[in-house]
Amino acid sequence: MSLTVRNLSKAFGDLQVLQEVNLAFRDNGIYCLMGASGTGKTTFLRILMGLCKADSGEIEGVEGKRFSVVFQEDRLCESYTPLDNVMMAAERSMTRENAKKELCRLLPKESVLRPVHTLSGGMKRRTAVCRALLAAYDILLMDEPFTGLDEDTKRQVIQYVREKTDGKLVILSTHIEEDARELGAQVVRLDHA
Amino acid sequence: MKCNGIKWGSRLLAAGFWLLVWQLAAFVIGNHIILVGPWDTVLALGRLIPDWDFWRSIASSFGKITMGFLSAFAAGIALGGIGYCITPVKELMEPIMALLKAVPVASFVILALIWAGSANLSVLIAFIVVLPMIYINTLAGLESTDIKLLEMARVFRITIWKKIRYIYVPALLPYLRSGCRIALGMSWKSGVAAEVIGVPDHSIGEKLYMAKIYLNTADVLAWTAVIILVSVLFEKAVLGLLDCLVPQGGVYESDGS
Repeated sequence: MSLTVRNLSKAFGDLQVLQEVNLAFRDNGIYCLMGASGTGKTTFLRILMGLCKADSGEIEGVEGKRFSVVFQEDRLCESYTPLDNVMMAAERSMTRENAKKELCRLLPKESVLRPVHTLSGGMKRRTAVCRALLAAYDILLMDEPFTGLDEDTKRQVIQYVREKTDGKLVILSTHIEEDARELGAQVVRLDHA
Repeated sequence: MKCNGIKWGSRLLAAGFWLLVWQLAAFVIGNHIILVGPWDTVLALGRLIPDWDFWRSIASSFGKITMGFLSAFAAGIALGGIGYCITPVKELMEPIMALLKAVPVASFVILALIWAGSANLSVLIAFIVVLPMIYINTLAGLESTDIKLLEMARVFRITIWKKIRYIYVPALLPYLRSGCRIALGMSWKSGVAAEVIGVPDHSIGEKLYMAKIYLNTADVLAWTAVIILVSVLFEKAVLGLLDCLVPQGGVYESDGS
């Protein structure tokens, strides 16, 4: 197992979000965290990537690992183009030409060089997904990455995610079981962990 | 296009109306020492323009006030940036900036005259007036940076230079722009006021002072028009340059990262 979580707990004031969570992930699979709203999926992902501290518990296998992420919100630099946003986080070997080609697989060609604030919600989401997939990473975390995408676009993005993450550890949260099936992901119920 | 034409037309009409009121007031008062009309002001300007000393005075005052503004602009951004990163520096700067904001310009002018003489008075005064405005706006802009974007940059291990370019500069720019708008006008007002008090050679302030001594109201108004024009052009140039730092919208191809 490449990533092991033991007895992880986190509370915000009186609200216990994660309690004694135990999980193990192999280093090359897609895992879908599922659970009702408020079961701590986002908190769990934030703890993994070091943006939030757990109250107790241990995480093994993240030392020296590079994370890439699709946040629940897009978190794009709105004045800049999708291409700039991708290049900002892309691995060093990525050229602008290649990044543009990759973006064109998910976005209409004419929107790649438009400022992000002029794009639709779905286009912004696809840009955020593309940014995460073209960054250098060992572990990819995706927090409800398909929100705001229509069914056809979602299929296209899922296909792209499967292709680009082959052989890497991906942990994503979603409410929709069908998405997990299409990704070929192993479902992890956080509320039972 | 049509809308723009109407807007400009109504602006010209408003300007024409007030010029007419000004001309009528001058006619009614009938005293060239108290008030001259726009036409006499234009005639005075026409007399001044061919004079070499007119251009030398503008160049000298422009150079000094610009130097004061730009050095305060650079220092304000640098100090604001350091204050944002290091809280004790921010706390240390707070009373100084509050003092610079509160002390009347005239007091600084007198002190600067005692300490440094009149030659570079407008440089120092423009600097003192502009510095707190740029500092405060820089700090406010940096503190308004989106925490979520900073988290994103942390996870993606984005370099400091890219963070500055893509995250800090867009957050800072609206604050810096509004600070600059006020600071640019203030630098000219305070710089010329300092020159009027210090009367350095070959300066706009000196020319205003001489026009006052000879009760030459037409020259006072002509020089005032020159100050307004130069200050507006300077403001447009500086704000235009600031706007170039971050794309404002529309389709564009950026220059790479």
